[in-house]
Amino acid sequence: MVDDDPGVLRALTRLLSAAGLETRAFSSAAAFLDAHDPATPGCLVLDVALPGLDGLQLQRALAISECARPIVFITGWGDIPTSVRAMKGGAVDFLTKPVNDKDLLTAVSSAIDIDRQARAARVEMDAVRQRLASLTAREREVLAHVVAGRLNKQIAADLGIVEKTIKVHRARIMTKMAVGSLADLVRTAERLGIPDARME
Amino acid sequence: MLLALGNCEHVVEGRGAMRWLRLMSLTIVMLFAADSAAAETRRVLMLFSNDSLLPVNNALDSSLQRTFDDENPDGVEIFTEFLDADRFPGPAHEARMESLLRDKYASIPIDLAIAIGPQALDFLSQRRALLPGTPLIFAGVSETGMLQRGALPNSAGVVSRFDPVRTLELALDLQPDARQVVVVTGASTFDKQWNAVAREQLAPYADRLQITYLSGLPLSQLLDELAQLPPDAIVLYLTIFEDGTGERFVPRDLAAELSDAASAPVYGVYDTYLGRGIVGGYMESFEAIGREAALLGLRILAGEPPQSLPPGRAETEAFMVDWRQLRRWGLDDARLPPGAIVRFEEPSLWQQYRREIVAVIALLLLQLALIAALLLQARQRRRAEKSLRESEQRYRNVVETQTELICRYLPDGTLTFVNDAYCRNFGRSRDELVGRPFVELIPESQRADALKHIEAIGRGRHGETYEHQVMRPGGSIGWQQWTDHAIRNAEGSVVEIQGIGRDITDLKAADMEAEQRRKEVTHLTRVTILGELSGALAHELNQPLTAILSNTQAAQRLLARVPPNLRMVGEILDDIVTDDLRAGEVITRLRALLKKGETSFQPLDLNEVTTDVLTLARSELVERRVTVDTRLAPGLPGVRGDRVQLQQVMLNLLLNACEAMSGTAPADRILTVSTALSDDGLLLISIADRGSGVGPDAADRLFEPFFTTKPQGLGLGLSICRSIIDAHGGRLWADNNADRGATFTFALPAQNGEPS
Repeated sequence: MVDDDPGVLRALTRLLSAAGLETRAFSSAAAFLDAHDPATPGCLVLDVALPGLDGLQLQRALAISECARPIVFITGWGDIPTSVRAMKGGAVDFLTKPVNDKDLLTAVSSAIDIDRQARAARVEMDAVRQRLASLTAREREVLAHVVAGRLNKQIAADLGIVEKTIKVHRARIMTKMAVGSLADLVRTAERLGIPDARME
Repeated sequence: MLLALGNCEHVVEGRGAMRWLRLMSLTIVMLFAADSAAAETRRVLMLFSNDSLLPVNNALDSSLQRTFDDENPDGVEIFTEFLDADRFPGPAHEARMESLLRDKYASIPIDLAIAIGPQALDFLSQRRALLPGTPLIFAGVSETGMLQRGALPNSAGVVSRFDPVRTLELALDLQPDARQVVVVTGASTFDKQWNAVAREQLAPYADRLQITYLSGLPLSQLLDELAQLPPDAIVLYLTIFEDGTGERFVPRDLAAELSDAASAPVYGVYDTYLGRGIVGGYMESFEAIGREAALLGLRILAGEPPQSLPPGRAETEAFMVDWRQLRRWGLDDARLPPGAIVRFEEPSLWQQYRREIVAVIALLLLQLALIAALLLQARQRRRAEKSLRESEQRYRNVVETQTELICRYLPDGTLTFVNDAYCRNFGRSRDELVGRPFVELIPESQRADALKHIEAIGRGRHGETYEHQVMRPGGSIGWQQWTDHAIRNAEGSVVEIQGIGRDITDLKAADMEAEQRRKEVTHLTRVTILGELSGALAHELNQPLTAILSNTQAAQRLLARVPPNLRMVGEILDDIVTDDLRAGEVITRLRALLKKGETSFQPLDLNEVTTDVLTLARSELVERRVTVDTRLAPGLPGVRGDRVQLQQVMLNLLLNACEAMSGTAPADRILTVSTALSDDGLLLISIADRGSGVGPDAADRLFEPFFTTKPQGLGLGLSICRSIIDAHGGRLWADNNADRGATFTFALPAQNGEPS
């Protein structure tokens, strides 16, 4: 929770706490950044009009540092351009003061959800990447071709390896990547951003 | 021939006084002469042919005696005797005289004898035994007479001659245009002799003049001839002893007759004629004769033998004229030859009564002057009166035609005079106004002041202008402006007061309306400023409202729990109160600034006012990313001012500063607000920005109304700020900063008192 107005800060913090959320309050963006640990799950409730670094600047700073913490903006200003910028910058919501508790809590909970999902996704992604990392070079090569939809025969011809070896590689890839079907593999490969062998 | 010398009745200028004076001096001389024993006195006997009273004799006598006095300091004793031969002719009288003289001068030796006139000469020359050995001087005998007598022993004298040529010259001098000369002589031998002499002597003039010789005519004919002469002719009368008819005359007597008859001026050679009608001629001078005779006498007394002295003819003649005849014939005496003797001059009235005339004239002049002065004075007075009347009239005109109000009143306020305009203004007639106190026309509340003012005028406050309300016809209240002067009497006390006034109701109304407009504009600009701050103000309100809402909702949740966290709820409620009050403050501040109130000056703490303004504008400043650096000097003295208006000024300047920095990078948007005390005791408030500063063309016009650099600005803000600060007795100005941006400063006078 970041708001420069102490009264507002206290009130909002109280509200969120009363709603059962663990809330940490900061009165400036700088103070928040000092204490910020990106590993901590949760969302950010942020006032736009802050002295020094304002809300939108903080949003950008976090984006640059690839900290994907979801933000709920609350502001006393409420002008459209600001809200558009905020939303484009990836904010979960843009609320105007005085803010109703239902609206706030709804936004916060969805932000938290997004955060959890994002984290889960990230975790999973890490696992997948690790699996990819566990592939040998040759296996990676074969993966690219397999994902391109090439027949084993063709891959063998391309890579100058016996078809049988290809099959073996294939099985190993499937195991390492923990996928059950070619379609899953392709999907996983896409997620990983493995380039398509067709695109040569 | 010297005729009747003694008988002439000349009026000769000889005054008795002179004779006495001379006698006196002579006596004194004689006395001195007597004292100086060494001097020997000579004795002179003078014998006159005629009586002593003849003026001729007097002249001769005085001349002789004077000359003796002047020329002979040793003194000469003179004895004078008179033959009186004309009146007592004949040997009997002569014998008597001889006897008298012999007896008288028996024992007195006479050194010199002087005979005046032919009778005296003959008397003495025929009786030399009377005065044996005494030299004889003769005078007053003619040349021709002397020639007839022949030479006389032991004698010398002064002979007389008669000169027709010189006489003619005199006539020609006086009558230069004369062309005709008539020479008149009788028929006797002597007359004929004269005629011949005249012809001979006047011959040279014959070519120039027409000379007619009337000789030996019968008197009546002669008179006729003379009467027919042209007025510019010259008549020369010599002698007529006998006329053409054989009648005998005394020539002298005929002179008058001839002169009367003649129609031209008559001239003659004998001085006996002078005074009997002739103009004049070249004649004897008795003065000269006497003098010459005396001189001869003195020479003889000095020892010269008489025979050695030729008969003197030394210039005893002179031109003589009768003044009366000059006037008769209109002859100009300026033409007289030099040295001419004017006889029978009648001193003009002027000459006779010179002193009296001068006195009279002086008196007359004085009187005239007095009259003139009086007339002048009268005229001046009339003029003054006229001009006074005119100026009164002019004054009246001015007063009556005035559109301004004129009145006069007594020191107690009673009106004594009102002009037409005054009557019209109050809608009353003159009678209704004069005699009543003018304070009746003033609303009650102002009467006391008016009366005080009258008093002040009486005490000497003079010509002051003051305004007061009046009750107009119709019941409305108007305003009038008056200038009063005290009219004082000689002692200096106030007799009346004159006032000149003007109805300024409309003026005042216009003034008040202008004032009203000014207030409205001030308010309007303030509202505009606040309008510009509206976002910020809304935000300011929003914060507490947000807090309140969230606090409340939090509290609701807390209360829903079991057990309810009442302590926390209590905290929440405290906070709600605080927030509410905060909101209220903002509203109050806003309301104060939005109010269109009257200016009210109160003691203010400038730092507090500044902080207040900054709080109000905080959201705006934050929104604009402007950082405020406040430097408020502690312990400043208080000021008297209108809080709202001063805050208006500060807000205006703050917003302007923010505007100026809108182009500056947010990191550089620093606004410095400072308060300080100047050296001369003024409170200074400065707002410094780091914007683009004030342009050179804008610098002069910054505070002008309707001057703005903003595309949508009204341009009234700064001019209103300046007028607000001016009304506070302060000054507002702008300077460009050395590095960047501008600083707007206003100074206010400190209130005399303790710092608040």
